[in-house]
Amino acid sequence: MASQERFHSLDAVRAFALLLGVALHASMSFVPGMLPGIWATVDATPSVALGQLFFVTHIFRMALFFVIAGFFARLLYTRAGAQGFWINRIKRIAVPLIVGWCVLFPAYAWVASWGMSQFAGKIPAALSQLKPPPGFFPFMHLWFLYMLLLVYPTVLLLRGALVAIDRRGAVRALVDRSAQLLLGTPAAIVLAPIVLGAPLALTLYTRATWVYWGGVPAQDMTYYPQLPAMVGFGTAMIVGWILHRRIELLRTFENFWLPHLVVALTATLYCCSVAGTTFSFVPPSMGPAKALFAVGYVVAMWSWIFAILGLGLKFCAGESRVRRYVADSSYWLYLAHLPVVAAFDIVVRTWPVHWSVKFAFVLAASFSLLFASYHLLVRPTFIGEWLNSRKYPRHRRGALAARTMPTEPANAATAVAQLTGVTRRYGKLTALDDITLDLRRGELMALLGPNGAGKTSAIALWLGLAEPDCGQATLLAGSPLAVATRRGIGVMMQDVTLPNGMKVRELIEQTASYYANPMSVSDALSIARITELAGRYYDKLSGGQKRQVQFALAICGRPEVLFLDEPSVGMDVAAREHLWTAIRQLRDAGCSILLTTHYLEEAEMLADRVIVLAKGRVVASGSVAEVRSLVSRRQIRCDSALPANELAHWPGVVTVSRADQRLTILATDAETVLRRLLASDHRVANIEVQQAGLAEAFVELTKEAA
Amino acid sequence: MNIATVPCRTPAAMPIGRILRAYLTDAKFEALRMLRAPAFAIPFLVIPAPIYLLFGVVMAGESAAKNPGVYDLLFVGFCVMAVMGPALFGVGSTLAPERDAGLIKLKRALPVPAGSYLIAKFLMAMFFAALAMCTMIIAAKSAGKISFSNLQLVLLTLTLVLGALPFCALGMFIGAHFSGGAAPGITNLVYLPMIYLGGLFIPLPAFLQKWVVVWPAFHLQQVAVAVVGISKFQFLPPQMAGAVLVGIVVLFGGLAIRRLARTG
Repeated sequence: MASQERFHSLDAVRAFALLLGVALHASMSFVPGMLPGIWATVDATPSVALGQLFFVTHIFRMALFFVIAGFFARLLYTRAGAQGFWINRIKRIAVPLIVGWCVLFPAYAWVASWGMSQFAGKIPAALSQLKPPPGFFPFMHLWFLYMLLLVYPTVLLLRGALVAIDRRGAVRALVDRSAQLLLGTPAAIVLAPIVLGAPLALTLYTRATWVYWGGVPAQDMTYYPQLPAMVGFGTAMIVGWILHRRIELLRTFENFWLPHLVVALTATLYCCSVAGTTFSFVPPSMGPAKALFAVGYVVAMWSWIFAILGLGLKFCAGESRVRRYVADSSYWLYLAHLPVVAAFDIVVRTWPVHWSVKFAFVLAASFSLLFASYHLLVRPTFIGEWLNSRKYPRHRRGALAARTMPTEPANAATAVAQLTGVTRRYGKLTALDDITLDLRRGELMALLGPNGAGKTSAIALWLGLAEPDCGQATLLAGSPLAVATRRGIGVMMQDVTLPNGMKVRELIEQTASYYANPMSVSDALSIARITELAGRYYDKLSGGQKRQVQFALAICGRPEVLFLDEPSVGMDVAAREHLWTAIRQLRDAGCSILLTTHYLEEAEMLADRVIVLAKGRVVASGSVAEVRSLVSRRQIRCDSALPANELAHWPGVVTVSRADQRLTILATDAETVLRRLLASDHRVANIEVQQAGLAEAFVELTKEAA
Repeated sequence: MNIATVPCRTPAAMPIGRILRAYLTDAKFEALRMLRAPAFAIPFLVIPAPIYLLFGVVMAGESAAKNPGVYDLLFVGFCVMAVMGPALFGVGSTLAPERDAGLIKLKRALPVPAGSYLIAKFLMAMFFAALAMCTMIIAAKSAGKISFSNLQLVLLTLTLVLGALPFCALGMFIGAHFSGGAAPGITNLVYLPMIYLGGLFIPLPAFLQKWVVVWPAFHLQQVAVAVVGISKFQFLPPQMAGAVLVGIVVLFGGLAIRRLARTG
């Protein structure tokens, strides 16, 4: 597996950790035993299930985030150097911390005071009289940014000291070997959580004020570094850093995710059974029970981290547009979520419905609002660029246009529509296979091919209905995805049913309104020769008449490029003649036309150039005469009594058919067949020999491709 | 005409006025063709008023007479029902078959202004909602059982016409996810239970009363109740009910647009 793929999975895991934080905070008001004043509100319907979700999530979520942070920190450090690292961290961590706090603290404070106003007189005295800790600062959920800013220099200082002391690299080699032993072997399943968790377990055990439900005490109330957080999250970041040094260790997690999960669940079950179902603010007394719990807690924490990393690596390795979007958005979502989630928690507090409905509502409403804010206010703006180092232009179509448009098309002077090296797949089916096509200015090009050859796919790319998997689609020197570009085209598609209840005149008026400089409705009617249908309802017309109306719709915007997909299907002979005349006149007036048709005589009559597609590739291209000449077949017609089935076995004969006395022989070697014919039947008469038509050439070319 | 003048060499820039006109043209023809469809226009324009007169006036009985607010509440409930129908069915049940018929694909290939196809459907539904409200108001004024002033009726109409939007979004969600054959059935599965379970006008058993909050109709009714000031029947803060309706527009509208952008 390539290392780049692994980063997609780690991106996904980081997003998971952040979004889980949103759910964690949403669940806080439902935790049994939660006191007013800790969170913005306390719900009227507490839930043991949500309490357990809170407790379990709290065990590992932030430590998991710090492991990933450590991994990406080293990646950034090796790519950007020390200076680049700090510039990047200031931009993406310090500035969001400062700006985010200035905006979010007042917002959350307002929401929390609204929530607490419903608990007037019910806030426990002990809580309201609590003295702020030394260095008090209410970081709220943004403490993790502050924590990062504390841990980064610590880790870099440690690294610097190690590099200074260990000039020969002996210590680093030892670290690598230990990491290999601890994380790269099955020992990782039991040993690693204990060894890596030991320092944290010790600090938790020795902290007299530690409460089981509080997890690793957060750095959310003071800017003085707190020992448990520094130890717990510092270890996590160092592990992440080492994992980037020894990237192959990740494979162990991928392979052993299930045993890790089993250990995680077992240790978690033990912790849950000890901690109970109600949030307890009473610190446990020192003793073996507390020590055992601390060990169980860190084992659960690290096993969850390894299991989730393994799951991410195994199941989220590939690139996915949705995961990428969520990963990009997760940072903003986590930064902005607190007041939103708290507000919705307050809104649902007294709803007389089951807690699951309320919790689902809070999540759905919060995520809708947060994703909408991300999509509209962050992704396309400088905020997105600031947070994620990348700005996506607001209009996806425009964005793609910028990305896929060539700087200068190769033959822009003559081509009005181009496909350059285009491959388009639908699942396992390759509809277009590295195809290059161009429609030149003022020409009528016929695109021929059997069903499934790729004709409709090619047109779909030019019309902006699909995007190429590889290569470029260009229309009028712009992107087919841009509305402005498509104002230069007219289109007549196959298999389209226009809406019922509209008259022909109205349909044309409606379509013409999409163009900058359309022709009048009566002109469109007149060119398509359907003036008498103007007042009739479209759905009451015959199939051929409907196609004539669709032709009028295609031309009413005075298009520069016209796409006609099987235009004459269902038309009677007269209507088809009229259509051909109109098409020729449009071409003569400078309109470039792409025609697909199954009526080969139509292509033969109209086309300046023919392209034959088969299995997504161009098998022939040129004028009608050139394509015909690609096939060395000729047709011999004569009056003869010779049995057709006997002739079919002659060398050089492809097919034979008889109508009364008249034989029609398609031959690859017409001269030899003729000689033998004259020798075998002295009464042979009325002999005609002619070059095979486009139809025969088409059959031959597409058969060869198959 | 001289056909030599037909093609335009370069796609001209579209003035803003013409773009607005394109939106309006789409909306005009959407409304026109739905007015021409008796299967749509009759149930949603003609039927609500007689239903209201039958159930909200004639059969409301003595309890309503003793309790003056009940007539007003019933009127508001039937009005909500009247605006829900064209929004849900007008969007969902037309979108799905048109999607099947390749019309959306054609619209995407044509230089249709962004969202014009869907906006036209929304405006059509709001236009129908306004017409339905007119028939309801005429019926109610004739029956003489409501106590609203003309200003209150205007405000109620504006609220409910705007309140059609969440149902448009729901309809769009159904139309974007189900086939033309299935969409009307699914829409009915949402519409009919919502009329009853949303607590619009029939007293619900206690165990169902808790669940009215899951139905958008209830939230629209609560906003409408606040607008006309029948505080006796105000069970939710109107801001919250309004927020839920906005959430429905964002959620279902977003999901539907995402689906349509992917599959056409």
